[in-house]
Formats: sequence, structure tokens, C-alpha cells
Amino acid sequence: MSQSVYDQLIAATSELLGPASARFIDRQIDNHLHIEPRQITSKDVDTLSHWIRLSISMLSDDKETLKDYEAALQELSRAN
Amino acid sequence: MSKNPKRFYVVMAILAGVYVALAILLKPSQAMLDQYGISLTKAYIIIMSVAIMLAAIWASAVYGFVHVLEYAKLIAATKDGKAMHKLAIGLGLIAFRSPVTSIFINLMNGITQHYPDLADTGVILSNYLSVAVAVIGFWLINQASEQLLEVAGRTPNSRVRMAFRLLSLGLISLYTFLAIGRGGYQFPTNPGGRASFYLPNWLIVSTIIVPYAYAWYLAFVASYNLIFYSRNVKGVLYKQALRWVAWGINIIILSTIVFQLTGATGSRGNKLSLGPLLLAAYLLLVLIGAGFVVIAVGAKKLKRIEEI
Repeated sequence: MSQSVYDQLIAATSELLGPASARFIDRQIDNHLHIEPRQITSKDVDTLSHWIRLSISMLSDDKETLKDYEAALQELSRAN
Repeated sequence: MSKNPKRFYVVMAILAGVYVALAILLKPSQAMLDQYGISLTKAYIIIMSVAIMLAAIWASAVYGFVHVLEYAKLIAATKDGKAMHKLAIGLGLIAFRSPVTSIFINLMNGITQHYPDLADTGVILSNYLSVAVAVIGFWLINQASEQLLEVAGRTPNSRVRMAFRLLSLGLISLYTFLAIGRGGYQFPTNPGGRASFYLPNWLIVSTIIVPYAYAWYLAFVASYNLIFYSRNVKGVLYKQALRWVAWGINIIILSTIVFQLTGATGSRGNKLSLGPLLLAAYLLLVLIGAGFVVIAVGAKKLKRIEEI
């Protein structure tokens, strides 16, 4: 059974934020998409990815660390 | 918890103010001056320099504690949030232990100058207050570390705990060797002086030394758990932030233990060793303060993750 978009986002983000990933994604969806987190669909991923990148850049400017996460977000956008 | 954690800054400021006021108002006893072979002026200089240094260290301690508490508040409903809250309370007890016991000791010193018969009561109560807070504080930090391991979903090697048990048993022997058996530990060596314990040997060992060793065992395990958790939990940025908290706690734990053992060495007030002992005490206290600042750095990074 394939993972939902929400679960894929959490899985990708947990590589960066660990236990804080679900809280982070919920906050981003709530603040920028104004929907229930689990209601996120493939159409929302592009918009959300933009806000996620912006927020993550405020936590770290280490491009090496963020490289894999960026790739995962792009993969999510393409796959969905 | 709806109350603002920043109120603890006010509490610590009041405690520091009370301590400094007591340091100024309570004249050092002649017995103490004779014990260390120093003049009244020199005693006041030492007392005020220690008071100012302690106030700065307590400020950094409450700074670290408040930041961890604020972080715990942000994630209160979560499993790691409950663990962090417990960690914060434990750190708070460690942070406030020093000013509370220092004020108590100063008050008792002042009282016993007029009522010398209360000297033993004051020393016994301050020792028990100190050990009780250490046991409870490190127990809470230990419990928090165990809860965090559940979040990581991994447990460390049980042989490490056995090693810490053996280490703690060794520390019982060391502390016993340092604390008892020499002049001044049970009764004062000079009129008007202070003894370290005013208790029989078996009570010193069973109610002070053994509880301290248990507190240190809990602290060692907590320290190892936190390092293990910070290495095994997922999340590169989360781990980077958490590592500061873990290492800050390690610095505090080790410095507190060495400080306690150093205090046991110097409790007999050998005037020849006053200078080096004071220097060692200052350095350890500064390390404890630095540990709390390191914790604050980590807690601020963790808070940032929850706020963006």
C-alpha cells in the first residue's frame, strides 16, 4: 500500500528534524495551506515545498546537509 | 503549564540578592578567620568575590533551565515533550539547589554565631537538603533520559550500566576516604569552628555518601542515555541541536560530582590548602555555569525548530 503524500513528507523531513518532523510539517500545512494536515494532496506539494525550503533555510544554511532533503522534496513533487 | 517560565529569572534574582545581602550583613566569625588564617578584610574580599561569581553562575543556570522549560512547553503534548519537561524540572532543581543551600548555610552561620548550640543542626540540615535535592534532581534527569530512549526506539548496552554501578561503588569508597576519618568531620577541631557532618560514621555513609553515590549513578546513566539518544535519534538538524543539551548536562554532572568531592577534601579547612581549594571550587562552579549556557544554546536551537 503506497504511502500518503503526508506520510511521504513526514518520512523525508524526519531525516532532518527527527521527532520534530511531524510537528514541523503540520505547522507548515496549517500556516500556508490552511487545511488539515492529512488532507494534503499531490497538487499541494509544489506550493508547500516552497514554504518548507524557506523555513528549513532559516534553520541551516549548510547546503550539504540540506542537499538530500531538497532532492527528496523534488522527487515528491515529480512523483505526485 | 500556562505560567511564563521567565518568572524563574525573578526568583533567581531574589535569591541572589538575599545571598549577597547576607554575605554583606553577616560578619565572618573569629573562629573561621583563625581556621583559615586570614584577616577580616581578606575574608570579606573572598566572600564578596565568591558571592558575585555565584550570582553570575546562578544567572547562567536559570538561563539554561528556562530555555529548556520553554522548549518543553512548545512540545508539551508529545512524548519527547513530556521527557523534556521532566528534564527541565530536574535541571531546575540542580540550578536552584546551590542558591537555596548557600542561603540556608549563611543564615545558619549567622544564627549559630548567637546560638552556638545550633551549629550541628544547621550543618546536618544543610547536608540533608543538599543530598535530597541532588537525588531528586538527578533522578528526574535520569527518568527523562529513559523516556527519550523510548522515542529513539533503541536501548544502550546494559554492560555500560554495570560499569556505572561499579564506578559509583568506587566513588562511595573515595568519598568516604575524603570525607571521614580525619579531623573536623564529626566535631570541630577548634572552638567556634564547624564540623562537616556532626554525625556518626554509619549515618554519614548511609544517609549522605550512599545517597550521593546513587544520585551520581543516576546522573552517569542519564548522561550516557542522552549521548546515546543524540547519536541514535533521527534528524540531522535535531541531533545537532540536541547534542548541545546532552553535552551541557554532561559538563554539569561531572563538575557537580567533582565539586562535591573537592568540598569533602577541603571541609576540614586546612589553611595551607585554602588557595588551591578555592581556585578549584571557582573553576568547577564556572564549569557548572558554562554547562547551563551550553544547554541554553541547544535548547534555543531546538525551540527554533518548533517555531519556524
